[in-house]
Amino acid sequence: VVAVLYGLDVVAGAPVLVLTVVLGAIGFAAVGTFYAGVTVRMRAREVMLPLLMLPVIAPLLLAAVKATAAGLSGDPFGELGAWLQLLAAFDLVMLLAGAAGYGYLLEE
Amino acid sequence: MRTRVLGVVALVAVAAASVNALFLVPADLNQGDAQRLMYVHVPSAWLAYMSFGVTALAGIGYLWKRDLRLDAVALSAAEIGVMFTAFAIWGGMMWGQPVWGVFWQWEDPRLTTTALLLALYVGYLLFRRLTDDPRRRAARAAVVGIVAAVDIPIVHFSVEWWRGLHQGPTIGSPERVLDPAAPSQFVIALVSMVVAFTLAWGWLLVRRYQLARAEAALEELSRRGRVEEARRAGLAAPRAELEEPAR
Repeated sequence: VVAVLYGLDVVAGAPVLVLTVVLGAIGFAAVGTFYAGVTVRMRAREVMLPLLMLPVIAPLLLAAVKATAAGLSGDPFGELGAWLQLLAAFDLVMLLAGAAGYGYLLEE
Repeated sequence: MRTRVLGVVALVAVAAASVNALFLVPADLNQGDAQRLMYVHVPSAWLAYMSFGVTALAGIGYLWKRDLRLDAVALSAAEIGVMFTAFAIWGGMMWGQPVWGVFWQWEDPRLTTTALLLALYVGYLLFRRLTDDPRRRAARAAVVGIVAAVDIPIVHFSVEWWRGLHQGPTIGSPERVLDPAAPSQFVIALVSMVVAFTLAWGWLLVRRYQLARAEAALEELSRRGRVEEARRAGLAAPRAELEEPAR
C-alpha cells in the first residue's frame, strides 16, 4: 500500500530490502535470545527484557532503517554499503558474543 | 594509606591542570571561553570508555577465575562509568548551547549513541540489583557487561562513520597524534587534564572497590547470623542459607 501511494520503486530495491530484512532479523534474534537468557531467572523479567534490550538493539534498528531508505531511494548518498556493513558486523559480533556467553547464563 | 596518597596526588593534579586550563591557556578564537569545557568533556568521555572497558575485562576475568573480587571491580567501574558518561553528556550540552545553538540533537549519532551507552549501563546496574545470589549475579552481570561493551566502539567511531553535528576527534585518531589539529598549548592542557582525571578515576575506583568488598562482607555476615539464629531456635534453616558461603 505504501509503495503504491508514494510511487516507490520496490522491484528495483527488492534485493537490498531482502538483504536488510535478513540481516536485521538475524541481529534481532541474536540479541533477543541472549537477553531472554539474561532475564529468564530474574525478578520483574517482563519489565526488564525490553528495558535492557532496547539500547543494545538501537544501532541495529537505525542501520536497518537507513539501509531500507537508501535501498528504496536508489542510494543518492552512496551510503548503502556502509549501513549494510554495520548490520553485518553487528550480527556477527552479537552472534559470537551470544554464543560465547549463553552457556554462562544458563549454568545452575 | 597508599590509597590516600593516590587521592592527594589526584586532587593536586586535577587542581593544577584545571588552573592551567581555566586561566593560563588562552581562550579559543572562535568559541571564546566555552571551548574550555572541552578540558572536562574529553577526559570524562575517555574515562567513561575506560570504565566500561574495565567492566568488560573484569567480567571476562570473573568468568575465567570465578573470583568475586573481580565482580566487585566490574561493579565499581560500571558505576563510575555511568557517572562520567552523565558528566560528559552534561558538559557537552553546556557547550553545545553556545556553540551549536542547541543543547541536544537526536539526529547526531555521537549524542544518540552516548545516550544509549548511558541507558545500557544504567540497565546493567539495575540488572545487578534484581538478582540476589552473589555468584549467579556475578556470572550474569559479567556476560551482560561484555556484550554491552560492544557499544563503546560504536560511540567512538560514530563521528567518523556518520555525518552529524559532533566534530571528529581532535587528538584521538592515529594520524592526528603527531600532527594535532590544535596548537600545542591546547593539546598540553587537554592531555594534562586527561592524566589528572585518570588519576582521580583510579582513586575513585579503588575506594568504590573497597566499599563493594565491605558491603559483600557485611551481607555475608548477616547471612551467617541468620543461619545461626535459625539453628539456635532449633529450626531447619532455609536451604539456600545453608549452602556454602560465597567467598
